[in-house]
Amino acid sequence: MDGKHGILGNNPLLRLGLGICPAVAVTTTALNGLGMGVATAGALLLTSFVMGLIGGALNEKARFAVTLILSAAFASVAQMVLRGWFPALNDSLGVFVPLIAVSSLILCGGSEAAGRGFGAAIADGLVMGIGYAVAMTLLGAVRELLGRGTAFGAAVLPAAYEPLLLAALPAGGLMLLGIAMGLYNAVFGRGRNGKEGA
Amino acid sequence: MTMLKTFRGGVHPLHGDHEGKAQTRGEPTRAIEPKTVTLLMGMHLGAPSEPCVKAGDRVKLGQVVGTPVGFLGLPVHASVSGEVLSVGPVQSVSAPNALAVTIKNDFRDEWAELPAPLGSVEDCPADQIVPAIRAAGICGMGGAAFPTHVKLAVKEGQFCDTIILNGAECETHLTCDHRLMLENSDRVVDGLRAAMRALNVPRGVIAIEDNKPDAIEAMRRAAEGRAGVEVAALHTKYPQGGEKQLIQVVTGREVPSGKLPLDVHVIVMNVGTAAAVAEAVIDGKPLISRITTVTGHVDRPSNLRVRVGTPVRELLEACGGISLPEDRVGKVVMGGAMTGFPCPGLEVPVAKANNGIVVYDAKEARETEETPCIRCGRCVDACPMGLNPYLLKHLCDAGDMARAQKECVMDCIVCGSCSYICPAHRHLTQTFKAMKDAIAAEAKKGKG
Amino acid sequence: MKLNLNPAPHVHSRQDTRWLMGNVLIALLPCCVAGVVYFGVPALMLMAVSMASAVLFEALWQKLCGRKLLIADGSAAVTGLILALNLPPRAPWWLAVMGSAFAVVIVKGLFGGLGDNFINPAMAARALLLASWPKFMTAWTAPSGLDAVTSATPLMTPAAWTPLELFLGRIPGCIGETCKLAILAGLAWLLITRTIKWHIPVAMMASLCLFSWIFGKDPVAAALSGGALFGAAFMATDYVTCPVHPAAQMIYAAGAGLVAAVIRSYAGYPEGVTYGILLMNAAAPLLDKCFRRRVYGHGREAAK
Repeated sequence: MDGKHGILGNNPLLRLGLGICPAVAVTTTALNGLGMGVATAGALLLTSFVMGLIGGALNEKARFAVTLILSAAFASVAQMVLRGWFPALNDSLGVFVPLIAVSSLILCGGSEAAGRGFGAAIADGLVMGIGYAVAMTLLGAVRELLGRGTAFGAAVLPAAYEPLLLAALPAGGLMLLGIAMGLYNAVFGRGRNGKEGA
Repeated sequence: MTMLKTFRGGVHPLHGDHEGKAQTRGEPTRAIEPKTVTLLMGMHLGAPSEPCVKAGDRVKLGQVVGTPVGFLGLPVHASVSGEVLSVGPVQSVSAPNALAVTIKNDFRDEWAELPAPLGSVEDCPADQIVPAIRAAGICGMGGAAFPTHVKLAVKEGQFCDTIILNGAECETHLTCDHRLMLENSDRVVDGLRAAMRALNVPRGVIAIEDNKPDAIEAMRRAAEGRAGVEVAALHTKYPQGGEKQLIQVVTGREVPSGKLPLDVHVIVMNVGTAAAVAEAVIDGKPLISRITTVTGHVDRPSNLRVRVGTPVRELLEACGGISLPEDRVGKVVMGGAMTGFPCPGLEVPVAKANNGIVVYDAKEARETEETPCIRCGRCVDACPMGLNPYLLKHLCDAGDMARAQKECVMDCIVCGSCSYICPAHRHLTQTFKAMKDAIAAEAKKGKG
Repeated sequence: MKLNLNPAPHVHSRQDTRWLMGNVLIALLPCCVAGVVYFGVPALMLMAVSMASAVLFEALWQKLCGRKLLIADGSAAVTGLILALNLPPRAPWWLAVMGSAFAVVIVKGLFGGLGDNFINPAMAARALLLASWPKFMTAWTAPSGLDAVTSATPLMTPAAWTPLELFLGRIPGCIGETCKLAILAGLAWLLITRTIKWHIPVAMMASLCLFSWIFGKDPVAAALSGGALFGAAFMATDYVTCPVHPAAQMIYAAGAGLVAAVIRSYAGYPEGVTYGILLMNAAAPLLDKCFRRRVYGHGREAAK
């Protein structure tokens, strides 16, 4: 995970494969995707902020543990925010909100932020979070369109459309995520050897 | 001893077409006299011989023109009498610059002074037989050209209880061994008995595929009353004449991986080699001619007794030439369809181990294009060695030498069965051969 | 004279991929005829649409990937036809198109094309259709000419039909799977031409019957109802997704039969053949790793 992360280049979900579990499980609608994405991004940003402040002082072995504690704390914050202001969304996301605590995206991004300066840590956290939220929303939108024929809850396809139920099931989510990763790599180049990566 | 019906695996190439042999199996052998011969110094497996004549020299029939080099070395004898035209590199079937001696035939066939014959098989001195075989320049005449005196060299602690004469002739198109067994049955049996006597071997088996009932009959008659000599009729299936398959079928033994037939107390010789051994022992004559089948798209498919070193062009001319317009000639192959080598040109000379020339038209010779493997498993069923060709091909294509070795690529006998049967036309055999060569080269580099 | 120098072998078996696929198509012919006789022209339409769209999607995909066009090998046509024969007779045409697209592009194309897919494309497509549009995939019609009479499959009401009716196929079900006589004719063709070996169909049917009996069902009815025989003859035997070695093939097929029997007896779906085969497809590479022919000169003491 050297170099820059971003909304388009090295997207955390579509290239790095971070935070796949909620991506498969809860992105059944665009709104769910957006909610989950923003909640995770917020927790990531806060974790990066704190790690950017104190990370330099930490022993390398301690960083991961501290990140874990921080992400657990901010996951609780996210849950309280959702429960307070978006109770319906909170219900449909279910257990995946507390599970932000062990999101690979935050554990990875947070512990990495430690070594960098404060500014870089914030910038990385912000960009990665936005990238994740955008990818989650798009995936949710596609699954919603195919699986229900709606976009953000509004019917957009003619009534004759017979919804592809599979798209709303986790199996369909995994397939669509795979296809999205493939398309992403085709459009933005393969990141593995670093040369072609955006 | 157990006698199996056949080995596991294998294929039936050209089965509906009598294995491509119908054209020539009834053709009696006829001798042809070449205008020039080109004697390659590297006709046998092992270091090439050293030329001992120079351009302008007159040589007689049977005179040594190349002296042996090293343990595997063999002498090369003049196959015609006449004048040496040149000594230098020529195009052979496998190399563009193989060292050779070219002799212009004076058609007099004056014999050089030959070593005294050892006498009849019954009372020749046993310890002289192997040296006489080497002096006659005999190597395996079935294809691999392994020097016969080395094959018959039984080391301290080893013993041989069975000599198998390979008359299976499982390759397509070829009928030279078939004709030899019909026309020279006694010579073949004498050669076998000479080898048995040299090594004090009690049992000699002449193995013949059952698509040659007349040859089986002829050999049975010739073997009658000869102690220890028997004839075995084998199922017609390719590669029945593969050394390892033959040993398994005739004796029920398996040659362990990386070992030689002698490690299971067996020696396998081609019937043509046996006839040459008989000539050397009984008449003292060196190996200067052999039977070669010329077939495919030629005017008059034939079995020819040709002098070693005769160019392919003269063989084709003796059969009325290629019966195709020039633009429809596909390839000219030295050997049968399963393992033969494509000729780069028609001046290539016949070597001691060349058993056939087959002319293919352009349609038969067109390159098959590889399509995706559909994992049908036919290659697995066909492999006489029990390998997984489809898997090996993936490993070889990926360049994974270590895993290919683990999957026993070195046990591949390059018989061509998998490539023949593959419905996707995958180039299996040639890929394995390249991989085997690469591994062998690597091993040599490591040692050197 | 220009001599070709391509290496040995210089002859090849005439049984190429196209020949094999052609044989499968021939073997499917009796099932097609039976399907049209029992279920009428709509069944024929479904077959045509499914085959045509499978071939079209294959061509488009190969074009898109910049590969050589290989639709002439017939594998896409086989996939399309097998999928159609696995559809209910009155399924809407777009179901066949969606299934073909999924089979050819997602299941086969994305994994590298013919030979590289790890599960059977037609089976996977059927699973997709069943999961996505269950109401169309379970709308059974009795084979009574053009009047679509909705009815239950024999799997739900086993006592309603005699074994002879089950065998001849005048029962509700997918287009190709009802007439066991036609399937057996096709299977015989595949075996006679040595397109496939006997191990998979026999082991799968035997295992299905055995476990159905153990689970307290009539083994004969189990064998003759649903898609068991069709699956054992035409889908479990797909070269690409079955193991190569006979012993592995038997275990693979027995496993498929077991899973199918378990699903039929204890799970929510009436039919489990699809999932049985798909599950064992995924296990095929592992089975191939476990069962090997012994290499000549290796293993057991070679010299006796």
